[in-house]
Amino acid sequence: MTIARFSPLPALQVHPGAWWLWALACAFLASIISNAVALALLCVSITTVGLLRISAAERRFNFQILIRVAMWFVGLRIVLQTLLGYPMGSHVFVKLPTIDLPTWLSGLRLGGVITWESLLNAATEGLRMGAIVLAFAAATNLTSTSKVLRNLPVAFHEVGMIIIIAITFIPHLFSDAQRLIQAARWRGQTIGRMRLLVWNVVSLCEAALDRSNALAGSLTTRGYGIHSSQTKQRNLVVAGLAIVAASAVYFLFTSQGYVSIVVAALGVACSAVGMKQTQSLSTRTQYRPDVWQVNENYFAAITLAMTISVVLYRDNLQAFAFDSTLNNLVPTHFAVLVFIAAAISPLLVTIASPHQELVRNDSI
Amino acid sequence: MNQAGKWRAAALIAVASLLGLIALAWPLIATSDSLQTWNSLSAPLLSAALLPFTLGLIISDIVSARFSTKTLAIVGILTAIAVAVRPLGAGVAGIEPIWLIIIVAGRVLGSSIGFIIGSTSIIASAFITGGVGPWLPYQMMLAAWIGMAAGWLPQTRGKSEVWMLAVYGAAVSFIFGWMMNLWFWPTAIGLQPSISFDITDSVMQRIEAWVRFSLTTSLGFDIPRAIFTAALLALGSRPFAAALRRATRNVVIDASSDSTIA
Amino acid sequence: MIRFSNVSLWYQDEPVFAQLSFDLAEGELVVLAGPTGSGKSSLLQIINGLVPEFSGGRLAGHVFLGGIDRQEIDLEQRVKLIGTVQQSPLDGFVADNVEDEIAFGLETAGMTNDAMRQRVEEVIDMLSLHDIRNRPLRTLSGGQQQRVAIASALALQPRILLMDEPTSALDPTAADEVFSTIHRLVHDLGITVVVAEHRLERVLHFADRVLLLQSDGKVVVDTPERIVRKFPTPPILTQLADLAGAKKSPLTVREARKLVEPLTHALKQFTPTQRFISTAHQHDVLKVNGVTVMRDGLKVLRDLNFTATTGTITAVMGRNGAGKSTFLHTLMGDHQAASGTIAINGQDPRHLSGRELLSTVSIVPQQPLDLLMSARVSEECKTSDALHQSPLGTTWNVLNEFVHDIKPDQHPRDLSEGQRLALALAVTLTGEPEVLLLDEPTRGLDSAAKKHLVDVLQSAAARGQTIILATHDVELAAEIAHKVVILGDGEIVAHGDAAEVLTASNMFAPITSKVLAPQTWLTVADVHTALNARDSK
Repeated sequence: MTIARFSPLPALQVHPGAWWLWALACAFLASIISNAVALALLCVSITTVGLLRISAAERRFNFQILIRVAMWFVGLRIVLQTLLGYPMGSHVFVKLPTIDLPTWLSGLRLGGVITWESLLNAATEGLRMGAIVLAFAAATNLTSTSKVLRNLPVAFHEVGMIIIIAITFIPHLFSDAQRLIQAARWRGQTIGRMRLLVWNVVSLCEAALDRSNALAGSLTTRGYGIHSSQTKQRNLVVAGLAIVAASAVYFLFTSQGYVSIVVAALGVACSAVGMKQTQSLSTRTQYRPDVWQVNENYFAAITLAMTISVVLYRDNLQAFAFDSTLNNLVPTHFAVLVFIAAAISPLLVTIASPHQELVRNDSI
Repeated sequence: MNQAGKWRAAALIAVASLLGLIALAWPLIATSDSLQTWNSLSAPLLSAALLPFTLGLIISDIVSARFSTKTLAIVGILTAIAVAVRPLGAGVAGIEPIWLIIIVAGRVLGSSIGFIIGSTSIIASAFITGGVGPWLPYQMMLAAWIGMAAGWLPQTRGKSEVWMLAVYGAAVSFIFGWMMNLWFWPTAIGLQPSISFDITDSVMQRIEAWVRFSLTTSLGFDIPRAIFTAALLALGSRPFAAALRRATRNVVIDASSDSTIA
Repeated sequence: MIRFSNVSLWYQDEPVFAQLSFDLAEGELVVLAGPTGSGKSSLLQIINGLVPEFSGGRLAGHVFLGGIDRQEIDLEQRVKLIGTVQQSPLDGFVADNVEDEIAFGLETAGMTNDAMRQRVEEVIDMLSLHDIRNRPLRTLSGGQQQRVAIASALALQPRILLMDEPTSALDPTAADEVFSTIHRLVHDLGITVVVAEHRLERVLHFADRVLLLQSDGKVVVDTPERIVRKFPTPPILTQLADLAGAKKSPLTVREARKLVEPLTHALKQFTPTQRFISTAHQHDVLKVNGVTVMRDGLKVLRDLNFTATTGTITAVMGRNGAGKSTFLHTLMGDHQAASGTIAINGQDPRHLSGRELLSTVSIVPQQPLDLLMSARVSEECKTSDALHQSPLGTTWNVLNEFVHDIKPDQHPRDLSEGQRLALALAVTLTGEPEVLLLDEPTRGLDSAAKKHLVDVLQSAAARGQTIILATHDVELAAEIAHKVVILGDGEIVAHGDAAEVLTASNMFAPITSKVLAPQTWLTVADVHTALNARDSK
């Protein structure tokens, strides 16, 4: 047996599933940790990976916007806490004047005493949301959408097709829109901007819908849309989902938690079997499928490590909570370092995609 | 119309909607006994994560079982249009042109297509802008419902249709804002008790707290958004609906039957 | 290979054609000809099954493919039997890059990965797509896109290839390339190809047989040599051969030159009449002085100097991407010139808008629909009257001078290509602009509609309007242009009287001049006039 030679892959060539696994693990980690410093470190790790590995200009731009969204979540949470918060702990930060809202809002009070503890709590909540936002943003911009959609199970094929059609169609819309704006001047248009906007959108739609005929014709003449005969298998998938939903309802109304979990697991299994059967019955094949190799295995390994240790050290990670002395702010548990290292480690197995790289399917 | 196919599609949408309802409204509907375990099992996260996959599965199912390639192409292109007009609203005081497309599409092409276009346009736009975030499952579900319910509106034409759609647009954009508060609200621990989510509260108390939370934090955004959405629909729904009706007049939406859209 | 037996088709109870019967042999390149609206596309769609399953309509009779009734061939086999290439490839693309687009049909057919790789490589070589195999489809040129569309159809190894006006969006060189490719495929692979086409001069010499749909709903199938006699307007080569008294119908310039020798000889004593004689009333209405236009950091127009006199028609020619459209848009004032000046009656079009712009310069864009802003023809006319501050009904009357078959309630998108152009022309001409610009006006027009356009433009010029048209259509330029400008890479490479510029060029020479070279005749009509003058003497 030969060992596959290991070398870092350009980010876009890594199997998209690997990036998404990593992102989900980071998000899961964020949802468990309750320590502001640890969360901040996690945010920094994810951002670093994103900034160093996303190379296409527009994707970097998207990611930078989402960094701002993440920061906005932290800010929003702190503002909410300041205005509508309830003081926790005893370390007073500042005392704001209070405004009492009318009684129909049940005596809500704006302002008042702001403690360090409540600010820290708000920051923790904000950072947690921020970390989740960053993880998903990184995964979305590190992978090509069409590659992600191609790798979904066959049971998702049609929704993937709709999204691909939409994404490939959007550039048409923009060039049409440019022409229409130009044409409005050519006609010497003097109508209001709002009406012009509505008219342009309507014309765009008409032009676009006229094209749907050609698109549908091209799909049909290449054999697409010969209807699936997998109704039975697909029924199984949906039945599984229905069981999950029913067990969740039962759970929420009766608090019979553990019965529901067993039933929900059954439902998931049922769906999984259905999906597996759909997959094996499908006659569709894939041209040059993406392969899962050494680098992807590495991703899987760190994800697994992160998830398992999160579950094992769950209690230690919540240690901070609302310690009235604020002493345990800096996490000392080794697990935290392991997580952060794991979160940033994709840097070791990938390189940034070269700029002019026009690898198949990476344009969107 | 193929009745069996229609019922099956309705059942699929019902299953997805039930899961969506749980993922969205659990803070309001659950008994306080169950909430402790619910939270400790990361159920809010899991149910949210399950939702996009469920929607994807049932949409694929409906499309593959019933739609002609023409309908598929139209759905794809309307999704593209919805995605393309979405940024037009950004920064302009909460105008959401995406609702114009979703609502009129649901209205003209029927509730299942409204449901599908609602969720596909949200997910496609998230992919394009890189904005796949924790809010995505909730937005997908709500947009799907908005498109679906637009298909249930009573049959009228002319001025009354425009009015009806404008009022509908205002109402749903308002409801959208409030429902979107629901995913964020349970995480906002540490606010004053009268507006914060507390698992020990009764259902009624939680609903009251949510209403107060929404009134205090998001009303200032919800009202202008509702007004602008109504204005946009008043202005745009008639020409857009006409364009859509013209483009689809000969289209067989349901591949398993030979009926055409009226 | 393809046999129609008493096939009739109705759309909403209106017959498209009735009782068609014909037989096409295997391995032939068949050109499907006929005027717009005669049902060329429908006929192709009957073969590939889109009619009636997909597009609706009522079909009677039998279609046999390879001897088997079409209805007995299941969908999967039909897809493998017939490949289809549509009119505008970009609208039919379902993937975003070349390789995936080619593989799409194979994926649907469930082919194994190895087999798929091999097939894709084969068609990539066959159509020389190697250099662009990874490129996103929307960055390709029109000709490349069409080649990709052909490759995706061929990947399934069909026995029949159907093409619906595959070159309508291409410039003459790219179109020629596509047809040579098709010709080679027929010979190498032995597949049967049916091409619907209205620009017959491009394709007739490649054809083994021609299937002519006549406007009365009848069909004739014959060899190209014989069938040209049945065309409402015979091809130029045939017309010249007729004038020379030759019995045969030549299909290439080379054949024609031999056949028309007597004519060439007879014409030696004449010189072509000058098309445009300037008078004292005329003045230079448009002056372009050293204009350079930059886009995305590149010079798309370089140092253009150009003037146009009232009442002249100027044709702007050049390959796709040479800057023709940019030139027209610059004249409309859409682009800021990096240097140089443009003056139309002394005014810079950039500073004009509304009514002022409309009365100075107007454009009919490549897609006339862009210009139309209403959901009904009648509303469009009303809007136009209001914009031009003309009395109500002016536009409608102008429109009715051009065409008579438009109903006021129709949606502009439901009109034929020719009707749309007429409406856009009516809308712009109502403003009586001093300068009228047209971008590719003959795209998608059949010969009848083209003739109509020529009349409209000539009478507008006679009224003193200055017309500038960007076109690939050499014959149109030869027929109506007084002046010709040839653009290459953003520069004017030739500029002068139509006769001089066109006959001096290889690429832009009209067929008549190619046949009668070194004499400088532009059109058959010119030759005709000269001969008539001789006879009346």
